[in-house]
Amino acid sequence: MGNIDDFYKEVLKFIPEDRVSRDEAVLYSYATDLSSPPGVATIPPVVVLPESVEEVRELLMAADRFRVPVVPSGRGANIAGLSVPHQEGEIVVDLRRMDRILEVNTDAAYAVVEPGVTHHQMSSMARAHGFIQHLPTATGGASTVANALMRPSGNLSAKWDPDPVISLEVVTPSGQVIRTGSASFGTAGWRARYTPFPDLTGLFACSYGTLGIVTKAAIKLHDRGEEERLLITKWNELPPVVDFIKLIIRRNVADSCTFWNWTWNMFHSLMHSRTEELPAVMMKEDQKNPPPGVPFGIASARLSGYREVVDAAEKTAIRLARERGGEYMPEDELKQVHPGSWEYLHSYFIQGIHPKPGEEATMRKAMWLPGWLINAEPKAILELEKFMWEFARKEAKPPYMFRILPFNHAREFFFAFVILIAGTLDKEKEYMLHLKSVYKTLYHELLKKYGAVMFRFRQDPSFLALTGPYGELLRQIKAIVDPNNIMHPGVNLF
Amino acid sequence: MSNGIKLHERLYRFGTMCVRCEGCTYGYKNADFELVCPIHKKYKFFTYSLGGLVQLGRALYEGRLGLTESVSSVVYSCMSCGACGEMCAEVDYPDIMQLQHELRARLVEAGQVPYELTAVIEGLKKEDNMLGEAKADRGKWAEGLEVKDVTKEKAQVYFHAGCRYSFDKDLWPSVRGAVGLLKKAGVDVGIAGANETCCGGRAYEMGYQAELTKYAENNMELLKTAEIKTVVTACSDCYYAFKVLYDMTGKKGDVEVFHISEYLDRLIKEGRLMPSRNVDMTVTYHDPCHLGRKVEPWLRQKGIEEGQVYEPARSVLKSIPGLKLAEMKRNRANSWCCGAGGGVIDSNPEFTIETAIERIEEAKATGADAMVTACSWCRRAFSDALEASKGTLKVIDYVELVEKAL
Repeated sequence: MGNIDDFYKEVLKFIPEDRVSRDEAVLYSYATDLSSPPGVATIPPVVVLPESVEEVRELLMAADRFRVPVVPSGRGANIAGLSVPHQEGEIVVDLRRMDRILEVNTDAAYAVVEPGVTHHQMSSMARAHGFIQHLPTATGGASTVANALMRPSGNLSAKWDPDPVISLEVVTPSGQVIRTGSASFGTAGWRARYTPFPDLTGLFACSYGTLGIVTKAAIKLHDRGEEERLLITKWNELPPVVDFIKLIIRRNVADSCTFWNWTWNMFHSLMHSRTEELPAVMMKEDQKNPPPGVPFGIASARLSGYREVVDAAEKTAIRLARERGGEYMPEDELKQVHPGSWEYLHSYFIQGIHPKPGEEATMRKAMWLPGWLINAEPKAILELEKFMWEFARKEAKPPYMFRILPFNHAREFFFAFVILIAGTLDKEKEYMLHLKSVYKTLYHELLKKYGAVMFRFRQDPSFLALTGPYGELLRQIKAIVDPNNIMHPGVNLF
Repeated sequence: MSNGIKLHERLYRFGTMCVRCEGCTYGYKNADFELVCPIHKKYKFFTYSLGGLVQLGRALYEGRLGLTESVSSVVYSCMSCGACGEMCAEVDYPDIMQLQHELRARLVEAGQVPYELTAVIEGLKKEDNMLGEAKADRGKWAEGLEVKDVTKEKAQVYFHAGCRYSFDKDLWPSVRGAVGLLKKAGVDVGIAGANETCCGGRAYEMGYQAELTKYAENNMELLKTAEIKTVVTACSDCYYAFKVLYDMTGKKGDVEVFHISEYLDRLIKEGRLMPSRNVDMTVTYHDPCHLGRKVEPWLRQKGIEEGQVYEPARSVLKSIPGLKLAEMKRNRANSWCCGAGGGVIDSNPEFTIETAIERIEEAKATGADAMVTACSWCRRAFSDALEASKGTLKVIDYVELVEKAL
């Protein structure tokens, strides 16, 4: 690691002092995110706020020369510790000031944006132009680019394909500014991810800033359609709903469809309430069976297109649900049983606005511990669900909750299982540490037993090792792109 | 777990649970996600947001960080406008503002306060007002008004002018007008003149908690002696202190507290005041933080319906014939602060002016002829900003506009 004082002086030559901080209070505030409890991440020695590609380029070249490790951060909202320092001496490059929407191409339906642009900015822009964008379940203040580069699960992750990214502009530690996809030609615009050459956009996706800093991204926009509708069906068990979702997605009846178990629906209502504690019914020992009058779970489908098509889609989806033991749940019934779910789902699926609040935090009610986030084939989901109940019964305390949705059309499903900790960090530290430790080995077990792959990288280098030559090639690429290993080394991807 | 500063467990918990979503910095749907946090806009780093502040609170509580000048500069940079608490759906405002108040109190104990604020507090201790003016001059604003002095004779309603209105001559017409309106409506009103003291609210927000207790006791003693059960004030900071802070600290008792806008709304609805003259202009209304989102969560706990606190002021404006109200994009809970709060007008007046100019520009964008406000501190901030920027937008006190309509 190089001399941080010299590096700091160097940075001040091209970035003004008010955007380069060594102030103690500033540094401490960049040392934590939701992944940090019960510990904290490392305190960065410097935080920089670049405002242009040129500043990012100068910054990375300086960091490379001075051997100063860099943690790129879109807006900093992260639950997996991917945008906070983990190693001594890692500086944070906070990209929030690069927050411009540079181009909205309504003809080809995409927008070129900087990494500091939030989902909320994107939502406003998209709505203004009659579009909807892929909205991940991250918070509205999170970076669209950073989220899009981490394979988001979201409101459009089925019919419209799960990958919202088309092409990128990336700055590497050597100072190269690379554009991928059609943008690589300079005159072809940002419209296409694939050209006659290998796809480099894919290389930078899920690289978590270890190969360079993404300074622009072309993000897909989708036509809202003449009609947008939320269809809710209620279910008393999981197998038929998985079948239902598979069918309506494969046959393009719905844009997307998500199943939420009953505790998750209660959680939605809780998010909008001002209650201090988790309700007793959520804490009940038997988490599998809901209280009377509450369905085991609901499936929320987004339908859009021409009015006649949406009418037919709705009718078809209801028929398919009934044939499998599900039932249509009218809006009023949903509002009555799960008022929060109605508000959440309508905002998220129809308005294309991330609901307030972000679901990652519950603050006064409980601590959120990101649980398993995995992708698996549809049939494996049913096995995973059984495994999950058993695991939770053995290792965790109520409440826990899960949701599933088709991720890669219906070839695989995204499965999220979350444990809420109803207590303070002081009191539940040991429990939290216990859960974190069991999660670590769990991903390996799930891969082995069910072919389930972790959805998002969790700082576990042993996982890449499982990929054999694939991982080796990635390491070789990393060595070429970042020979001094300055890009986010503490995240442990390589 | 704590090896650091004293902090309520719940406040510490916020620090362990913040997801850094930055919901605290921008207005929600109705404001089209525009920034509402002045410090975040100015200082740019995440640190300068509620999210950043709770991280500092956590580090201080855990003893990883001390009460240093660096911490002080962040904590005191904030205008305490309360937008963050309103926007962050995970916390309730009284709690999260409490975090800032507690951090500031600890900084006061550690002697880490911007010196400009210590000067203000010295002035307060000596002269019982936030402007450091001679206390004997406090009642001069009311000279010639022929209004009762509650320290000498009985009155049903006590009109509390507040420090800024009492000493800022430019603003005297507002308080004189307020008393005039009350008298016109037949309200048995009195003032305390030179015997009026500060409410203690601004000192409390600067971290001087003992001053709140002292002035709450002074003021409540005055009311008790005068056998007064109704307080009306034109100052939104005083309103917040009497209505919320005194209640939170158990000093309020059974006294009813009104802002002049609320009281005028009542008088108009009762038919005791009838705006009948045409006021042919378009105005936009600036919601003072202390008359809106800073009191709203507390009132909600007392059973007031969410959002209702913003309505009386608008209701009065709507009752004026010919007057058109054009709302700014950031209004009510999403309102952009004038920049004068939290002691910033004293410690960093340039920042106040910068913040006020942004609001003035937003007001101008509505096409309104004037911006109306109902707070002495907002008025001062806007007037200073207009002078500094050579702006031409009219800023009118609420009361003056009602006077025109009668």
